[in-house]
Amino acid sequence: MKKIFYPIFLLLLSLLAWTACDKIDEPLTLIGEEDFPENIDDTLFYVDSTLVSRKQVLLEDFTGHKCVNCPEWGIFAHELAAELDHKLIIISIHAGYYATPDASGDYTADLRTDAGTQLYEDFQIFANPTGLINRDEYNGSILVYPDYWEEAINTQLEKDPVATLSVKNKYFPNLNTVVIDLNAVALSDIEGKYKVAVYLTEDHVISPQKNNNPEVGPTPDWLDFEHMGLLRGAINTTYGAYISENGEMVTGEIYSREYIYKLNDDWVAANCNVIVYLYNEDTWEVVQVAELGIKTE
Amino acid sequence: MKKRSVKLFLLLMMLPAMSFAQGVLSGGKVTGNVQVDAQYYSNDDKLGITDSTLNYKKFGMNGFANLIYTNGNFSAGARFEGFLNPMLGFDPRYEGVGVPYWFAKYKVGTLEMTAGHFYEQFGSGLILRSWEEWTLGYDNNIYGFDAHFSPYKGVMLKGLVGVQRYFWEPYESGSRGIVKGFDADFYFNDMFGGMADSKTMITLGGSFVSKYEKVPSYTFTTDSAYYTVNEVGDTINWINQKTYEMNLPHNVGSWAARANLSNGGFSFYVEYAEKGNDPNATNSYIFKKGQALYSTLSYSRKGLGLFFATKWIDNMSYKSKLTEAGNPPMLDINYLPAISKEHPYSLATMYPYATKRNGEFGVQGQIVYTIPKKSKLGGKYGTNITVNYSLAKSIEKDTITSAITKSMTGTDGYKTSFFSIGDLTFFQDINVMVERKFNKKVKAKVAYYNQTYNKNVIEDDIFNDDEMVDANIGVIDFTYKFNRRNSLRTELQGLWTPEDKGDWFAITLEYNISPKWFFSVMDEYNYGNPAEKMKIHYYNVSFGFTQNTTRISLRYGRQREGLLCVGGVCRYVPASTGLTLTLTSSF
Repeated sequence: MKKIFYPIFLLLLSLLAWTACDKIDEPLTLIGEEDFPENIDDTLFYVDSTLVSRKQVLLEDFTGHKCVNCPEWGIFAHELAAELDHKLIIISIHAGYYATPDASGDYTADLRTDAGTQLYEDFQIFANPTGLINRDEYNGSILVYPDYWEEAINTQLEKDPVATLSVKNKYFPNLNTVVIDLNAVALSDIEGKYKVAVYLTEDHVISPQKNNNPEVGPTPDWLDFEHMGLLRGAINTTYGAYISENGEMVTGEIYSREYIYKLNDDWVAANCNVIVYLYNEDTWEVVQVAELGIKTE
Repeated sequence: MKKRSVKLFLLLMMLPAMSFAQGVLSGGKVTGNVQVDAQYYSNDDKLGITDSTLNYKKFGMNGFANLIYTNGNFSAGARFEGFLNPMLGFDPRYEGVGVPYWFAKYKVGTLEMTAGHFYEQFGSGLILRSWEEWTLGYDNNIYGFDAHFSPYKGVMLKGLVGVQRYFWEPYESGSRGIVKGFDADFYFNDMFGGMADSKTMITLGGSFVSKYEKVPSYTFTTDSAYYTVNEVGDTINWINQKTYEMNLPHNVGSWAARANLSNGGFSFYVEYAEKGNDPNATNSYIFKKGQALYSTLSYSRKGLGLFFATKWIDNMSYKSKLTEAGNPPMLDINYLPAISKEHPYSLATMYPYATKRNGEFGVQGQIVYTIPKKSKLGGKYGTNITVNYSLAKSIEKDTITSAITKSMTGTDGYKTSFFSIGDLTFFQDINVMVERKFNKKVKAKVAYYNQTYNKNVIEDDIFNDDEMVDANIGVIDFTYKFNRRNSLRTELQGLWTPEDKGDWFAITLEYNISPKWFFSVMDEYNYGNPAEKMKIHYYNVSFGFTQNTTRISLRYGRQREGLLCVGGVCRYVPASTGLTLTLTSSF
């Protein structure tokens, strides 16, 4: 009798597996989220999006409009970004002594921001220009001087991307407001807690800049200097927010965030860029960065 | 598909001839039967029937022919069907002719293999039963492979894979699910030598069934309002819209376990079944598991029969296509046994019971007692008394509502506890029938029924008690036999209810000239209908002729609207007037 029961028992087990059943623990999954102005007249919008899956590098260039050495290196950085097919994303942060506006004269413009000043102080920047390149150490220091920017940037670019970032900007012209949807996905197991910071920069801002290098422009005052990547503000605070509930990321999982930001009416929306970067809270290292302009028509 | 079916049918028809030619299958036997129901409809002002309401289909015909070839361990057969046009009350999607059922079966040793279409049942059918009921237009046959195998004495294994019939629609990937199933029965008295002579018979069984289907995509959106204020105090009001997708299971499994014990006149059967999360159109796409319990207990000895049955069903609609709903019920994988008595008298069937597959408690008890013949009460031939009671009620449901779908959709639907009984009555039937033969010429039946019928629940799946019908029905059925061949049966029926269509009276006179002829006149009169113009006579005149295994009957008259139910599965029959021809024959 046992001879027959064992095969039947095995048969039953195998058939149990064969007659499958999908247990659904989460019947409803969030697949999309959109924000619209309640006023129907304001619902006109323009949308643009980008997906960054290659390795990109963030250069936070601490500068000031009265810093005479800064234009040269700022221009160098942007030329390098073009050479690198814009794998290099630049935020030009006016902070510190050289950024203070004068009461009168050519340098009355205040290009500083609260976020920039906080970064300047927290990272103990003491000279301009100074860069943070992915906020990672180069030659034992997190502060990288311009002579080493290219080497440090190339070092970062040699790393494999560990996360992707996708950004969608929806600009409502009647409200001069941008709704930013971002998704982050870890491509491999990454340890630690991750935050995402969202900043706004503006290109083509014409404002005087001191300069001591005649090869790049007028000296000593470059009155119609075209500032690029000028930090205008931190959209979700200086240090951003956890990408997930506790900051941890599971490979392949999509983490989404949405932010709404009303632009200052003095800024030119078409020249503005949203910059999103993902960084490790413990090491400060920026593991991915994306930049997306605002489409206004 | 129809063309393909016809080809297969012709091939099957040719099989015997081909085989005969080869001299291989000599000695085969061909059997078959045919039924044709044809109706010619006429306009009827009283019933509001016009050419337009008939869709200009003045003629309806439902017919089938079964042909089965058997030769030793091999058999093959087919059923040809035609619905030209489908008779009133049958789904118009049946329109057409073809061969929706054919099979080839052979047996080698203890293995029996069927290829083609087949009907199968595991246990009482709680998780799988494919069956056909011509009068309902119900057919959920499975097209695929079915195997029965006995590896050991007393052990019977069954396995099947296939797709179910859906009118004439051929199976295509995604059109409906694929059903797989396995069943085992263990007859202990056959398996164990020591129990062979035991008066106690024990059988245990179990089944697994699963369906696979490509699932559709359903999304839901929610809107919530909020506002933002920027640094300079500008306020913007926003709508946040979230979109959710429902995760529907591709595979839905079920299992059942059962036991049957009998000893002498006692017999006890119990079966319990569970079904995995199966959101579908019939249960409002809830993700709760299904449960069912069905049990019967019976006792019989000479002159006495006792029967008791109960069932408890929760979320057990199980179809091979999750979007399928409505009538006629199609693509049912399982069957939930009815536990009410089916009555032979027309007014007693006016308020029939229909199984509520997504939640129902039921109980039935029946006593059949024969007062012995030649006793004072029993008379010369004895008297049969049948008392039957059946009740169907709701089960307790504590509803869960999703904030996303604003309904039970996308949740477990509700909470309930096993074998809970709700307050809402679906159906109740108390009936008594006394049957007595007075002498060689006279016999009579007298019956009384008290029925409670929740019209909203049974007919429209609206779960309240706003349309309860409480009906009392009385029947006298009197047969007088003039001689060995001639008899007259008279049937008087009355139905009294203050609800629905009010009171009815019915009379039937049926004259039989055995064995070939019968003539019948019948009238059902709705004299108590609250609407004066609906106080209608539903008259019928019919006769029939029987010759050997062939029977032809012709009927002219009115058909009242209502539900026709067999085994708790129902079909709506609309009112009609016309001539009906029925032909049945077998060979």
